[in-house]
Amino acid sequence: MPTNAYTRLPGRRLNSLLGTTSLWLGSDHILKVTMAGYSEEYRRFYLADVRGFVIQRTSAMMSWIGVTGVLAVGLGLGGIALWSGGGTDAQVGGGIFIGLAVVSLILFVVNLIKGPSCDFYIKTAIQTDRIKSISRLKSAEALITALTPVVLAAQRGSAAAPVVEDAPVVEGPVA
Amino acid sequence: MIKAEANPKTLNCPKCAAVLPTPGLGDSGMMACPNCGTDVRVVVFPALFRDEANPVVAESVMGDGEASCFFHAGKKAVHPCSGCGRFLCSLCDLEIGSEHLCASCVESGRKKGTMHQIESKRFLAAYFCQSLGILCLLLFCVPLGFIALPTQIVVWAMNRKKPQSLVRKRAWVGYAVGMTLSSLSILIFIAMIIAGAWND
Repeated sequence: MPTNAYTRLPGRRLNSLLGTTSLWLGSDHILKVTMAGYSEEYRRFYLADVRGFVIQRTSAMMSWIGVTGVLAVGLGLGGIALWSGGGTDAQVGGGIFIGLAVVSLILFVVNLIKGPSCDFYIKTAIQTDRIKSISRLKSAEALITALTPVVLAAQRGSAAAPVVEDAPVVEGPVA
Repeated sequence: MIKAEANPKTLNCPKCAAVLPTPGLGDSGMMACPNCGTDVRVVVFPALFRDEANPVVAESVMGDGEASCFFHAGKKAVHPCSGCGRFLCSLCDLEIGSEHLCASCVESGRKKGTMHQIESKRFLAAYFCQSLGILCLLLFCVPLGFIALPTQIVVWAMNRKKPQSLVRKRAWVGYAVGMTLSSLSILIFIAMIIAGAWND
């Protein structure tokens, strides 16, 4: 039996309380591992069958920044107002509000650092599968960099269109 | 989310399903979908241009000297099954990794859990034991460890020889951590009872 050594690929995402998705590279395939409860589910994409990747930019980052930013400012101002309002109870309430504002601020900054969000899809001849472990352009870029050479090596010899060095970029409303 | 493909030789916008312009081989860079304007990027591999219209056809036995398939007497054998040794024609030959197998050996291997190449799901017994141990320690006031520890031992005994995660190694760590935490929660509970009796 061949060895089942896998190398971890960039990206990991918490789908639910007990569920994560991650990608691993095997000798001849990419393994998508979805952990659900106390079991792991596997889906394999053979390198020779991968036809392309599609990355779609999403607005999730901007939504999170908006929500956490508004919460940080609102809770912070409310907390300061309560704190400076007087009595001990008001100060305790103000402290809780300020604590929540700090948590929101941390989430705001983390979102900023992680960068723009995206959805990542792997296309084969019969399916297009969304890879939930890749939700940021940075991790998508890292995954493309890691996978492109191995996919090309696995498909060497396939009938192919000529390689275009400087790919044409269609002009459009790029944010 | 999995979508079945209408046309396998195109890449489509995930949002509006319009056909995206592909740059030949390689990376298009970020561009706008010509239909909905969503920012998309495509990376194209040679397999997109591969012609798949070559169905597997088993050759017929031509002469007396040729071996025939165990399952199709009139078809020429091309490989012996790596599991049972039966001769297989192109139709019956299932190439999995470096092995050629017949359908019954694949099914048998799938049931026994010995063919990791086709496994689609595995129960993580070690992770279950570890989670149970963490729960015991968090709820140390409740004597949960008295139930959890025997459960963990039974789960370990039943699964110790079964393969664990395909990608994560060292399953014994999960068992060890789980049982240690459960034992610790039992000790804490006993210590609390003794301390309570001492104070009374």
